[in-house]
Amino acid sequence: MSSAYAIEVDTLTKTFGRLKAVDGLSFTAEYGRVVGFIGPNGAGKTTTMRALVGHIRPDTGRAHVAGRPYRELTDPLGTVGAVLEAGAMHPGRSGRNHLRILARQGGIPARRVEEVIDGVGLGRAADRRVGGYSLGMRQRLALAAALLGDPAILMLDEPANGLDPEGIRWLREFLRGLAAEGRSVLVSSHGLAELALMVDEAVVVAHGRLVVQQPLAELRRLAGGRTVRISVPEPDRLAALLAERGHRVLGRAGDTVTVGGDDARAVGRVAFDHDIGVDRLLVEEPSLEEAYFRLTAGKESIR
Amino acid sequence: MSALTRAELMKLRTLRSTWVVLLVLPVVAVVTLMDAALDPVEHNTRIVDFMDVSLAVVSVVVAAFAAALVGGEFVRRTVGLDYLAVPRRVPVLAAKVSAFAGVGAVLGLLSALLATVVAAPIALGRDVVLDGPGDAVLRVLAVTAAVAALSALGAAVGVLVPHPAVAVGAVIGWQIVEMLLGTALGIGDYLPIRLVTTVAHLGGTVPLPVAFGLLCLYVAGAVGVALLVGRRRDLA
Repeated sequence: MSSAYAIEVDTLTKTFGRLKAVDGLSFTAEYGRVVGFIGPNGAGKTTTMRALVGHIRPDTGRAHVAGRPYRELTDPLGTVGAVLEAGAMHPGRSGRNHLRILARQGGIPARRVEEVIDGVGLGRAADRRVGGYSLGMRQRLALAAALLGDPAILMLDEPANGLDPEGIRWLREFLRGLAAEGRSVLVSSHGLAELALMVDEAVVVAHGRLVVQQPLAELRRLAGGRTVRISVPEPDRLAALLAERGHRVLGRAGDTVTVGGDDARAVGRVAFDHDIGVDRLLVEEPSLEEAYFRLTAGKESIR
Repeated sequence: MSALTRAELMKLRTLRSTWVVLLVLPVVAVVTLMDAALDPVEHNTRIVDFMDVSLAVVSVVVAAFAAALVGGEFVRRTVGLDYLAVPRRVPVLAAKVSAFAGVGAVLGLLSALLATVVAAPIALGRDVVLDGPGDAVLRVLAVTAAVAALSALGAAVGVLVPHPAVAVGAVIGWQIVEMLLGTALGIGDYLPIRLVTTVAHLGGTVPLPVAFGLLCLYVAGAVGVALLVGRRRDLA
């Protein structure tokens, strides 16, 4: 590892015709972490990933992996594994042959092909032609291709697309396992609920620019932090009492009052002191989805 | 042979379409040749005259096949995987051209051998000049090299026109352009597809070394432009 960062994007800019796909984007990803790459359609996620593997040339700025441009890596497949498009495979070729060809190009021993086929659970399907694969099987094959060189850095663009719930769970555990081995995983996804369960931190982008890069917990805090929700028969009265006592009342919906912070005991005490029966009391933190929408409010919609 | 070229050949080996072309095209070549050879209008005086049409068919089909497969790699984005394995693009693209030149050579050899074997007995029954053994061998080798060159040219077209249908259209369109240019400007003998025929005839209006040299120049030029364009093209 020639750099402290697995991935370094520095003031990256890329324009296609009149469209500025990436606009001065900067972020980093460390080894041993799963980083979620989040943003609306057209935010520049895929373009950034393509720049990182040298598929496109940036207009300005740097996109480095393992401390250098991808083109300068001496062992590319052994350094970076990328899934940029799960459909990038010839339908008339078997999955096993698809991997064998890539192994040959990358100077990787043929036995490694069998290891990654087992690793992603492709099994006997590897001998079938890719044209007959489901989207989920293609995702597994693409992941197997990315793992062929046993790389320390993985970049996955929408890897959960087409996976069934079992497959998504498998992917989550798989990626967490890779990070636990010290690898860096950059993963983009529109499935924010799934992403929340697998990433350590998130890079949020919109319009090709960085919105925020933070660990997940910090992201949630930035998005408003924890809230206390209390359901009572007299919500208006309780809301007024809470406000009088300096609590930050964020809103009321039906019989539920939402209060900023996480001091459920103090909120419950106000209800108790005024003989207001409590039906439900819980502390919630914003989901990644809520955090995302708050941070990118007005910047685009997500698919 | 480089690992990249071996990988490209493996790509071809693992596709049905390659085997279909390898099996069917020589048969097409023979059928076309027999059609010419059995023509009651006997304007063919040498055995190679029978081969003209079949050689043109083989050359264009081989070039179109190469253009379609290479162009298809850009549409399917499988070329992106090649670039992931080997980020320096010139060797990757050069390996594709080399592999298709190899496939073209095999097809050229098969077609020339079969054509010679089939044409000889027909020629014996006619007032047709048969090749001596030396000329026969030279002709087979010349056809092999010429079809290999056209196949490499087709692969270069596939890089330049990164869509299979459009790339095939470009190859077929070129054949028409070549006919029009040849008629209008009288330079037909110096254009690629006609040069294949000239090479097969071991010379004609254009002497064999010049014809072969020109063919090599066309291939080098097309491949050079393809490498230049392919090296810089964004895979967006």
